[in-house]
Amino acid sequence: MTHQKNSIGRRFSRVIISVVLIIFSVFSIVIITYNINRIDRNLDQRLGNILKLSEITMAAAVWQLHYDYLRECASSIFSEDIIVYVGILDDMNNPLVSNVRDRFQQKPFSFFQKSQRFKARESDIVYKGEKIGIVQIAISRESFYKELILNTSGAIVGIVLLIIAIVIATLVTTRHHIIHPLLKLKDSAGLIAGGDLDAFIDKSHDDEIGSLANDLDSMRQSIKHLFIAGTVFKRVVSGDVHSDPARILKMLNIGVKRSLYEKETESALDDGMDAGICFVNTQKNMLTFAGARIPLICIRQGKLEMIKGDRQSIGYKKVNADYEFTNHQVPADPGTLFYLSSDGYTGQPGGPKNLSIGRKRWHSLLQEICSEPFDDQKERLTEYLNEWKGEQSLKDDIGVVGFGFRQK
Amino acid sequence: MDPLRTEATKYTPEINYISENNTLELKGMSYPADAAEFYTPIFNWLEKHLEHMTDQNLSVNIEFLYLNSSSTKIMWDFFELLEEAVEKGKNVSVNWIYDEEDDDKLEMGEEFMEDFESLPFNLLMKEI
Repeated sequence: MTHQKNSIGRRFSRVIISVVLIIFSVFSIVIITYNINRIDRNLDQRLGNILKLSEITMAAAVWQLHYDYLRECASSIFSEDIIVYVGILDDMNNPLVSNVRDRFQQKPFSFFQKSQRFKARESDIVYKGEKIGIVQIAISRESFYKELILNTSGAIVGIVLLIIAIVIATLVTTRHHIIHPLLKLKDSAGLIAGGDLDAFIDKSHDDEIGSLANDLDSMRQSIKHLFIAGTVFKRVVSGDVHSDPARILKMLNIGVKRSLYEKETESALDDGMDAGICFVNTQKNMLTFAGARIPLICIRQGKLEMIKGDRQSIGYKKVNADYEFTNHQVPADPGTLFYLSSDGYTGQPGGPKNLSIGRKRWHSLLQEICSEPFDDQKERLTEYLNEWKGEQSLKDDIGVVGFGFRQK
Repeated sequence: MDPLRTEATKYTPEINYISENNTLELKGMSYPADAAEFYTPIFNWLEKHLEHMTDQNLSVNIEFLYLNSSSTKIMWDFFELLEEAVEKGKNVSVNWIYDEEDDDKLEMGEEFMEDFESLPFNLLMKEI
């Protein structure tokens, strides 16, 4: 297996991990913030309730300076774990009772007020409409921090587990469904590029890779058939039939059919081509033309003439191998222009009604442009085609040949 | 008879059988990735339909805007099937409908008409 610098699997994991990370983090932050606020509110409420209770129960005792009762009150409040400081002062701010947790070693109330780790509040004790003292209570936020740590570590563990799961899942699925089949296709394409036109292509997948494989196989077959046609053509014209276009077409037909269907076991195979062949005798200014579903167009002094080829393609299964094509003799005087074109140009749909360009438009286009140099003509043909097809895709491959003869 | 209805796509024509007047319609573009695969169900349907048909007349209305070469090849098989049915005594007629500005489709229709001599084949310019 070749190692790629940027594997699809890795890119895939990276993208998914980033997305999941962002979503999960935002989600966690929202949940944690919500929880923290909720806990904070709870603490506030508890502190408020205790203060309220103290105000009421202590009022009479403070008035009477009933120390024992106040001490009892303070220690009963102190029995709750989260409370770290309880203090009762008289109206002159003199401490009457104060309880502090041992671990804070007699710290004053102001210490708890300043620290973020505690919540400290005081409240007036009122008796018969008169302020007679103050009660001070501080509670620890430890439980709150514990909850925060628990939430955060839970989220982190979740993220880590999720990332591991994603990495494993993407690596396994991309390897199995994308990378492996792609590498196999790449090997096949490499073989084709190297000249093996019979390379095996695995078309067993029914997804996008399968359709890529199908197209690659069609491409392989097209190249192979083109190659066969070229080889047969070269062989035919290297013999003594090179001056007889009709005979060239016949030999081409026989040769292509033989190459395609004799060896191939695939019964569905049925391919062929249209062709037009011209042989020019420059001594006599005479052109011989034979066409297999391709016409020859000649333009003399602005007048266009179409010489139809035979209505017979080459190579297809249904085509008779004994078919005799017809030669046409055409004067090829200097100044006469000749055009051969595959049916891709006239067949291209487009225009306002989505119709094919068709022969009429093709002929008048040629008449319009034929006085220009061939390079410009090519440009005009391309321009017209692009304008006509508009939003439509190019439906077929197009080959156009134009030629003429100079005065000797 | 089973209904036959295929909606048009970018690559394939609309195909519709209207049982009231025993008419089969093909309309639109035809350049599917696999023409044989696309048309096989239609061939299967048509074969069955022709078999069950007694003395009524089947009209086949064809109005293509574009056919690629493999679709053209398949239309050849399609008309062959219809011509065989005609030779077996079935009443079948084809209406090849083309736009007045579409000489490409007109020529195509003319060629089919020439090639299938025993098949009643009408070239109809589309009425605007």
